[in-house]
Amino acid sequence: MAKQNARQTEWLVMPGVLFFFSAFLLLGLKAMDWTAFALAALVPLGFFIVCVLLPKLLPADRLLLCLVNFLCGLGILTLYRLNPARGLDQVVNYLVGLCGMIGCLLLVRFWHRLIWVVPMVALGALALMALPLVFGTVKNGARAWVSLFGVSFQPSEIVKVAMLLLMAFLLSRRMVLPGLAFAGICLGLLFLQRDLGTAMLYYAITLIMAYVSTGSLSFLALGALGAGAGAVIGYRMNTYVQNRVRIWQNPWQDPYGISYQVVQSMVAMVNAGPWGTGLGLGNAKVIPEVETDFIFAAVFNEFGLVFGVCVVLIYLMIFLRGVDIARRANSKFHTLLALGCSCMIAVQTFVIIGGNINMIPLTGVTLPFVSYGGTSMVSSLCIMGLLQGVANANDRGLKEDQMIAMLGEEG
Amino acid sequence: MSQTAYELLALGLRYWFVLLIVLTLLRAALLMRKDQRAYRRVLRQLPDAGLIGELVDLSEQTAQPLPREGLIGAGRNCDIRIRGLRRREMEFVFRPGLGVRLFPLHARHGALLDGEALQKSGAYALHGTVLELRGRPLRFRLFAGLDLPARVVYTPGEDGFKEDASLLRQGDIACPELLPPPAPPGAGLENTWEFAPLPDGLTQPPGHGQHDHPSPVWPREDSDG
Repeated sequence: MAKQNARQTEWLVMPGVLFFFSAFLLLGLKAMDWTAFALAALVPLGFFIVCVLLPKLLPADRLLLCLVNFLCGLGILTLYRLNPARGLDQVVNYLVGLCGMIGCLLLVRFWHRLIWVVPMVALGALALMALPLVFGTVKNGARAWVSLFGVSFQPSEIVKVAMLLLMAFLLSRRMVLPGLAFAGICLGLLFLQRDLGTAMLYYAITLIMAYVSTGSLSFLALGALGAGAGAVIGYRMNTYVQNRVRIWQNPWQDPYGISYQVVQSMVAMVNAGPWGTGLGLGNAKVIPEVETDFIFAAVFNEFGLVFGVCVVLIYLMIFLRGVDIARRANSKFHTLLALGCSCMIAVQTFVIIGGNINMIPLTGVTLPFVSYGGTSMVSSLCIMGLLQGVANANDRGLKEDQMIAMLGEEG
Repeated sequence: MSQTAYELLALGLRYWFVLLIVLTLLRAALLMRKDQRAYRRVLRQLPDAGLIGELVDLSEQTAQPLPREGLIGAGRNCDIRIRGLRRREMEFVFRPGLGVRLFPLHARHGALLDGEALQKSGAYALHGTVLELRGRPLRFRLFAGLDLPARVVYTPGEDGFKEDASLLRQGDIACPELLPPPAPPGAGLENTWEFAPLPDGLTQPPGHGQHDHPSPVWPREDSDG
């Protein structure tokens, strides 16, 4: 069975290996770039090692691992094409994130022995969240970044992982009020930092997890009302929120002013057609913040509509796999954790891709696994690590059930 | 490479890239479907997967499968659904090595565990423990955690903790076995791995694991006879 699984994974990995090999080779041929040639060998090799060899050492969900790593590879490829230095940075970010993923997988595995760290995690998360208010630097209107000892990071991205763990832990132990209090403090701090995109993400995940935990429809209705009230207050109080809504309603009213970013993104996607402009032949570089917020537009521009739809479907598949893992979980903690993780990735993807194609007002969140950003990449991979940990626990639970059944038959 | 040659190559490779991502997606979908089928097959072979035993309603001689954790009450979202109780009466969690921990959800629950008032902070139920909820006696019959010693009852005013005599057999504490301890006398149930009779008119589906059936009440299957 295990051998069969491994063979099936190899079949799944092969198209990815060929994709990265041919894509980096093509980029290398453009200007005889030896770094691209090196990446044409290293990225497919790394992809193969992580998807096929790593699960042999560490029990993990192979399908999830393959899909996530395909997206990470796509991110490195697109970033390298847009800005080679950032592409290489992303490789380092990915390697750090991979370590974080393995750490989170082990954290879930040994969670029952590590429950004593919960208060420390909660306090640490709140302290991290408050850090930008003291040492923060303003970027794109939000005071969400901190630069300490030469390292720049976004604390709200790291706290995302802690929040998922804490909310799952507290809600599984029927401690709804402490859970909501923690999420409320985080939301308040995010509002003070004016990081409304991340605040929206935190709010949605808290609401979903609390609803799944309590099963109370009135709670869900109250949450939806609160979201509506928050949106109205946010709109009234912030001019840049009003601008975002105005851009969303009619991006063409000021295409060279406030709508420039969204208009350029839409133009890049329209120019792509069904098959794209061709790798290395696109013009997505003109979009401001293309490496972070508008990376999807860049992928769409060079690879086309069909490819873009496939990327969305990969995210959908990751979400469905996460829900499946949550459904198979044996404990409420694992169910909530898996569901929270998959919803976090899904909501974040929906918010940013929806903003890129002007389906919803644009918010400054990254596209998980693809966008440039160390903190974003590490936190997204850590979230996947938590999900992998739950999948691992499910497998062990099933094995236990098989053992009990065997004992019953023998008894 | 000349610009024209590169353009030709890049334009040609667009279809190759689309083909590869479509292949990846198709293979992932196939693998996911295959995995789900294999999982369902395993669950069919393990009808008790995710369960730790059953809760027998002694007044009606009916039983409901007991998942590792869940909710007892009359509500539709309860894992153990018993009419006559509150919508959400009590939560339970199986803790390996300790038993089934019970958490009453209301201050005035009036629940008794082996005749003793259940504390709000929770208490552990073991194989054979009788939980009385609003006058309904419910017995835990576990097939997980059978290596636990007999239930220990605290009797204030005496010499602290003592074993529950109704469940105790000589040697049980000293050498716990991987077999179910005897059911308390007078319960009308034998010491067996078999489940107690199902509620009248209800039939047990082929895979009634927690994963297959979130609803605790099994549907009537007329064709099953």
